[in-house]
Amino acid sequence: MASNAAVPFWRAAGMTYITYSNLCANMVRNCLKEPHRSEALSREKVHFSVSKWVDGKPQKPILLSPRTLSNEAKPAQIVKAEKPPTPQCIRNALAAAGCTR
Amino acid sequence: MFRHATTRLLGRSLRRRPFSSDVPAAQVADEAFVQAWRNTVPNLEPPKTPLSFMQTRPPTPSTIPSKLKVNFVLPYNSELWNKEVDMVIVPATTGQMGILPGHVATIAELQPGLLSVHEENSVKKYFVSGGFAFVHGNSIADIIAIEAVPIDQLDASAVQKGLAEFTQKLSSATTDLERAEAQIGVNVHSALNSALAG
Repeated sequence: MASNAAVPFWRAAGMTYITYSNLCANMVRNCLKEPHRSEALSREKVHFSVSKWVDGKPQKPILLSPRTLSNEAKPAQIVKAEKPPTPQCIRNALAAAGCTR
Repeated sequence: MFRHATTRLLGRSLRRRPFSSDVPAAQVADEAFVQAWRNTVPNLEPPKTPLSFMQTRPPTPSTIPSKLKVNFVLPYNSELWNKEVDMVIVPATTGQMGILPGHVATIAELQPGLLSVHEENSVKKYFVSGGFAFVHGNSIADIIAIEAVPIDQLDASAVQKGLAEFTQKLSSATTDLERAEAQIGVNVHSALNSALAG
């Protein structure tokens, strides 16, 4: 039997299932005891290595982590650092790093 | 003279000698694809597709088996694989759901909660953050979770702190999204709390 509600509350607020389930997983990870907690959090770390190509040669790569991405994208209002970057954040950070298409 | 002719003919047609290239795995490959390949490149063997590497699910037995086979996987690990257990209880969005051998085929969305695996006399408890459980008719259950941890790895004080933090956030939330996020936090931490309580 499905629940009577048409959509869950998080769906009504505009979240996708991916956002919701990642949020839940992150909260569980934050409630772990210490050796397991840092292990679980480091497992989820993501970073991007970006290098600009000039004359067919890659320049020195710069390392972008989700933290720097969200900071560079929105210097005025820093959103939560644990949040994964949105495509718009990545695009903004790439533009700030001087990578144009 | 022709007394044995029919048996010989029949016997020959029935017993087909396999070619060396006729590996059994090739027989489960997509027939349409293999046919199309043979039409296009007749002198090259068709490549093996994922289908030919996959094992077919065993058929549903006529009598209910005594054990349930469980595959419990996470994105980075498989906690249980082809493990024969007596029962699993999963936290479905519609309530706790016990899965025994011979359970009717079902798909259930999981919510943050306690998942327990009952095997003989021992019970193993995990906390899952969410995911899906697929129960097949042949007493096989696939459980997929985003994050699952044994219950003894949870920190009770962090749970209490998180619960207080998100309850406070819920009352001060202004937008719909913030409110939903705080509500999720309250739900997850209450589930963690009740899982730790018993």
